[in-house]
Amino acid sequence: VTCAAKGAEVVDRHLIVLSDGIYTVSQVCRILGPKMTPRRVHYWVDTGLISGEPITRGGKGTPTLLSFRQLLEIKTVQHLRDEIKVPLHSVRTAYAWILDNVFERELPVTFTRGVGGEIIAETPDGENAVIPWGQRAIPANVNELTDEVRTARQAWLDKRLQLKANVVADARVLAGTPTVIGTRIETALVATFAPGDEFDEEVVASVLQTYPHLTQEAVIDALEFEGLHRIA
Amino acid sequence: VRYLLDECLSGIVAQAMTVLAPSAEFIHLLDVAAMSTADPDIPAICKKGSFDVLVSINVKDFGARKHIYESVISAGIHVLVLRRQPRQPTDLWWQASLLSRHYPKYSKVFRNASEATLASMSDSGVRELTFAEIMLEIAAQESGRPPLP
Repeated sequence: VTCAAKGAEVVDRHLIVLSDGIYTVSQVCRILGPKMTPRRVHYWVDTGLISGEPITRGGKGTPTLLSFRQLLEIKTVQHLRDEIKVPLHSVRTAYAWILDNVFERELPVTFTRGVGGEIIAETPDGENAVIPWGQRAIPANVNELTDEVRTARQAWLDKRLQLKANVVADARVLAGTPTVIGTRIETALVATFAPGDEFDEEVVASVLQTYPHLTQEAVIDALEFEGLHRIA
Repeated sequence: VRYLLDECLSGIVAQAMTVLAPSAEFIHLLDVAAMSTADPDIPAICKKGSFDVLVSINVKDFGARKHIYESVISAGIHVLVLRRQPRQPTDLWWQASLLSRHYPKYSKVFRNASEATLASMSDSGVRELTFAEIMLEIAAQESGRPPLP
């Protein structure tokens, strides 16, 4: 057993990381969509934008591994950058506020647009704050930010990120890889049943023959999550 | 020898292997645990059910998955990982074919092992590997280089 000593405390590394989710950088990109590239992930991790150290840093034969929390943080920063258009130089302070209040204090925060164009964050205890955003004109719908941050907060509490109706990334199941909901069957495994980038009824039937306890809708969701297109 | 097939393998394969390899026991995870069992519970389920080998499939991101296998091995249970060739569907027939065809080889590997070990199985055969070896092999495959000797 590989153990890591932390002061006087000896911690079994396996048990800790198993329930925290384990993600390679390529897997993070696969989950978060085509706009997320390995270069972006490495940059955000290496510059300290994403909190904490990776589970492992990449090297020869060793991939960079990230936790479920870091996956959620990257997802939130991606939303700030790509949807709310927060400049890179401002995203650190804006994200630090969200990290402190949403991830650490676990507060349900609501974002609204101020009269001057700034973003105001409201917490249930009345601690309203103007988030340092770096710009006064916010081009995006602020309600989307509320939804995004609430999704991340709920996923953090549940240790489970809903990716499609029947696809989840559960930090405790298969190290957090996307799976068919309620099972240990990963979507990447289901995708191997399709010979190319498309699937038809025959592919779905083959998956259902192998895993009779799955539903047709769940199989289709898994195949579509893996970027396969349905043909008649 | 008692083999526990993870949920990623078909339950039908477990039934088929009971007929094809009657000297061993092949049990599917769903026969002993609920669906969507959490990773940290797997070693305890193996111990409680006196399983000797956990059988799993890996198609992607072995770097993340290897920690699950490490935790099982550290609990004294062997791990057998099925690996496919590129573009090979991992359907019922492929799973049953690999497990039945290579049964004499992997059963011998586990019978002769002095401690819990990891074995990788593909169409080309069964190999006992260290985690470092399998990681380098996968990295070589992904970069298009020929596999290590």
